[in-house]
Amino acid sequence: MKFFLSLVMIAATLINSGCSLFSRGDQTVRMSDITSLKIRMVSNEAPDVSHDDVVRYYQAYLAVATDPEMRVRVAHRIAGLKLQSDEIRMERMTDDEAVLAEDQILAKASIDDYENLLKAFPDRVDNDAIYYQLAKAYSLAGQPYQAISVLEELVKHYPRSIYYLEAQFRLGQLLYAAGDYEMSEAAYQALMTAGPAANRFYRDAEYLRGWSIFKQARYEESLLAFMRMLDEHFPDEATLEAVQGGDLDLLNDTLRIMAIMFDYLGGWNQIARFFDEHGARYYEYKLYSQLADQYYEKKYYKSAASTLRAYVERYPDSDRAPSYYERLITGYETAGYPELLRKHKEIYNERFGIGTPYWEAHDVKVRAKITVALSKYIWDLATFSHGWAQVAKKRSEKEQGFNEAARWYSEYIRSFPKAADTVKAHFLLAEISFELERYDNARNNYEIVAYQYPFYEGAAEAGYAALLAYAKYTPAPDHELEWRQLNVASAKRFVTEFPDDPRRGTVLVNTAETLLKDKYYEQALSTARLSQQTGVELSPRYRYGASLVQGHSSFELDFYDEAEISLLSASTYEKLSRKERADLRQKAAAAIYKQGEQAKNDSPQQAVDHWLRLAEVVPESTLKVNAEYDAATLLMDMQNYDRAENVLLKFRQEYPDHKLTKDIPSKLIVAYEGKGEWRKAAFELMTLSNVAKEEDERRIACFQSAEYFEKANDLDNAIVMYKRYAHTYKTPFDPAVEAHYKLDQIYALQGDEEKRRFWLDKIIRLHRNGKNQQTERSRYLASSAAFQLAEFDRVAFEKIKLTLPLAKSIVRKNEPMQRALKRYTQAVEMKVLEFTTPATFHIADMYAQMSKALMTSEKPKGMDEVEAEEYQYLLEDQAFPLDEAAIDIHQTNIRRTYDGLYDEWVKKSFSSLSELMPGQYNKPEKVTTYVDQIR
Amino acid sequence: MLIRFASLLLLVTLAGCATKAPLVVVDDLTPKEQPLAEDFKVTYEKGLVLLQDGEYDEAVIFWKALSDSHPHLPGVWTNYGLALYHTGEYQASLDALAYVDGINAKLEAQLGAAKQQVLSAAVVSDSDLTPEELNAEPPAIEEGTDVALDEEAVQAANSTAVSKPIMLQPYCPVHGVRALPQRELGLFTAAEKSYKAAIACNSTDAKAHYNLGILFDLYRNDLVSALAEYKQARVLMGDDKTLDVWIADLERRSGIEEGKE
Repeated sequence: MKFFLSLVMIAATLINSGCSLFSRGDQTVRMSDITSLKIRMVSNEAPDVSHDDVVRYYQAYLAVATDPEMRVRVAHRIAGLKLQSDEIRMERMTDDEAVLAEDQILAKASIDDYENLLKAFPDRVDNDAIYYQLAKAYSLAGQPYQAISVLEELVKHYPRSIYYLEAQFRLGQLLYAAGDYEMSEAAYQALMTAGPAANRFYRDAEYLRGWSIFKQARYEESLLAFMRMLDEHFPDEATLEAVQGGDLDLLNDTLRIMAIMFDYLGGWNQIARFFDEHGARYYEYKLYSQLADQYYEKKYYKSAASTLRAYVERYPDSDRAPSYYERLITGYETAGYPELLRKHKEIYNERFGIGTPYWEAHDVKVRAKITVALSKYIWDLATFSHGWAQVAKKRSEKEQGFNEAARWYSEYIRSFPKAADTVKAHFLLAEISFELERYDNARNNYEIVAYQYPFYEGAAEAGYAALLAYAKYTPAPDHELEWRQLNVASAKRFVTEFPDDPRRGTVLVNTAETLLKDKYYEQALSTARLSQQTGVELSPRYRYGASLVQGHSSFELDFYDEAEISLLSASTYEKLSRKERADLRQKAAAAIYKQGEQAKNDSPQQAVDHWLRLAEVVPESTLKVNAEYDAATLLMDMQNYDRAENVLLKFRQEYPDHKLTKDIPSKLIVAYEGKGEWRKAAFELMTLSNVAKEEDERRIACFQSAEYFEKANDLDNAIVMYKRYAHTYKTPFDPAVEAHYKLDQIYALQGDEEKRRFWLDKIIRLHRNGKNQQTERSRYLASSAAFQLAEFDRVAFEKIKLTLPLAKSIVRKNEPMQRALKRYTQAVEMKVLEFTTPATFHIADMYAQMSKALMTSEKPKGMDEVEAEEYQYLLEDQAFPLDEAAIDIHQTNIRRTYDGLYDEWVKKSFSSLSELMPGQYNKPEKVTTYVDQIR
Repeated sequence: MLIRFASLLLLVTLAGCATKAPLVVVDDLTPKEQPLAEDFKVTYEKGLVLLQDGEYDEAVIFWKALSDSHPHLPGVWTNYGLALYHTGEYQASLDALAYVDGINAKLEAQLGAAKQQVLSAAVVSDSDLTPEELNAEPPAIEEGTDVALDEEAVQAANSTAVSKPIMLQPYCPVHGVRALPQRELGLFTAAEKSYKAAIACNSTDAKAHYNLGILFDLYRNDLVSALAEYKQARVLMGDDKTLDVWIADLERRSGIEEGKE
């Protein structure tokens, strides 16, 4: 074993000297790293027998042995045993120089034995074993060149020896250790030529041959040699994955030296060039990785990064590509190259990020690995830009930084919508958007934070910040409405989602104001109401805002009672200008007025109360005039005349010059009419008859005034007004006639016949002159007037007695009779039935009376019997035609019965005729006294 | 003056079941007056005395009270109307007398119904008519079918029988009385109609002819009709010089006398 140990040490020394450039920190590259060599060299000899004992036995045998063949074999055996014993000793006591020197002495003793044997038996066919042992002894003795020489002899003369392969192997090793790489390569080549079958040194030979070529600086060939070895022994990924122990060491060392050679050849690009020339290999990634590692060890960060990128470029779709890029990024991080770091993080995202072709082409396993790195990279990029923007002083830089950050936060959100810190990304993105005055985007992200992540600690802040964003944003004119609607929705959501937030009151007020602006009165009102019910004490400004919105909205929605209270409340805000305050109070007054209008139909009393209190609540309001006037009007409609009168009189007193005051008299008239206070009404009408604008109005008022005076039994004033009417208004015809008639009637009541005669005569003339205006009524009144005038004269006629001198008294009595006859005739001519039969009767009766008056007149005294008889005849002659006339006229009257007319005057004519012509007319019916038949 | 109707047989047949034999119900449907209380006549006569004595205001009160307690008696209403006429309450008089017209109309309806029943009974008992001709729905009655009494049929027949009338003929005196207030009110056509009704009711009513003559004479200018009525009155009343004068005068004025000559 010592022999081999020496070989190894030689080789290590050589490699060490040749590869000093590849030192790894405090470690030194050694051949011992290729541990498989040790392991593979385990002896198969039985160890438990004492070598000295066996040697003694063999020496004892030699002392007595005579057979030359046996003696040679025993001598071989003794030499072998001694060598073996020496090897064991050397293994155990390698640090003891004294022992080592003793071992070398012992080895030399063995050398002598073998040399002697060869001399003694130079031609023995089994001398290959002697050569083999001798070579081993030289090695133990620290004489490698002798060992090489012996081994060369062995392989030369015994190519079929069982020691041939090992001899070649040892030869290669010794030559390598001796720096004869060419010969070493040849030895290994010889081994390889022997083929792999039953050749336990085959793979090591391939491996070591690569090294031998490497040592000759024939890198391309060396690479080919190693490639061959790898191809042969690690044909696929599975073998590579399964490798362990010494094989793994061999593999790693192979890769390492290959990487070194690629570096010698020009770097990472040589890997692609080499495999392009010789065909791609699946394990190329190992080489890229190895080369990158080597660069990193030397802190060649860019070279390492380039190597890794070269792999990624060469195999962009490889599952390993992301991890190679991650190593690259980690390398820059270690190196402290921030710009490169960010650049490649960005590239990483572009190359492997969510949604890239790479991402789409790979499975969950790969994606999972990418996700870990990607999320970190994007977040790093976003936070870096964000921080940079925050500290930047130039606006352009700041803006650029925020834009970058926004881009990366957006990318993060896009890539990892369900990640735990996506909400934070939204929030930060919202913050940046706000800084960049991109309020739409800001409120969008704030709302996402607030309402999609309600348990996020900053949710309420985000919700409120969204509202601030709404407030800041100035949308295009055609989007203003939409924006405000969104704002309102957001505010309501804020209040709903964060019911305990102290800002909810102000939020609601702002919302209500927005709603009012857009004329969403119902929503504005409900929001304004709500803002005052949150339990949060609002500042005066917001109390004012809430009241204002409530007032205006409720006014628009016809909730006038609420509007009144709210507007008055709003008007108390101390920061209002005088005009603003006045406007609010005026609108409150309007609200009061409107309450009256609302109540008018169902609760008129309430309406009146509202209108009348308007002046008390808002005394400066101009509406109070209309309100009071309307109150009066409504009171009139309600027939509440007492109250109406008070209101109207007060109105006239307070607003004597107001245009509505002109209507007061007409209303008062109705009120007085309603109360039955005709005289007061008449005075108002009298006023109206003087001041009314329209003549017809004045005329009607004049007549009505007279009527009401008459109704109030104020006949003097009635006469004044009727007279005024009769003298002033000849047209229209009918009321003019009526006014005349009324005057007659009043004078009749007063018993003033003279005045009656005047007005009765005027009635008749008015009717006559009326011509085509004549009516049944005027005809009736004219007929009545004529009849009445006749009656005056008839009464006068009847009062006059015929006394002596008869001629005078007849004339005196005849005068009224003629006037009466004329008027009765006039009445009859007008063909009013009511006056026709009495007039006819009176005409006939006056003739009869005159006849009777003549016959019963005072007789002159002193007439004798004959004279008296003569006088009587004379009287009868005078009376007869009067009786005839009476009969004739009465018969005219009774003939009316033939037409079905039968009234008291006809009856009276019958009665008169029964006296004047009893034979023909005195025919009473026989009337049954009683009827005794019960049934 | 009771008119007695002959006893009738009322044959009632039941509709529906052909298996049942037709029934014959026998009942006496002769109308009978309701009897008057004895003391009523005495009271009635007190009222007549008031009229006779010209105590018209008292009479109005009396007859008003009696009409309230005995609204079914036409004599009461007639005297009440007469009393009102005498006090000049012509329209009220007509209103009171109108009650008598109502009583007369009701009586006529009652008598008409009784007559119809009698006729129906007579038709059925003849058994010559077919069931369809009886204007009813009973099944045909076969000759020789035995007649059996049925309680339900008897009750049904009684329910349709004529109720007992207050009197047995229309009340005539009301017409002549009614004409008086009608004439006073100028309702000459109505008065004429009333007088004629009185005459139709009692053709020997001389007063009706007399008064109808005056109506024609004075108020209708129908001298010919007046003359005829005067003459009829003259016939019924016997000697009456006033009528003779009127007849002569009318004959002269109407030209009838000249025609005679």
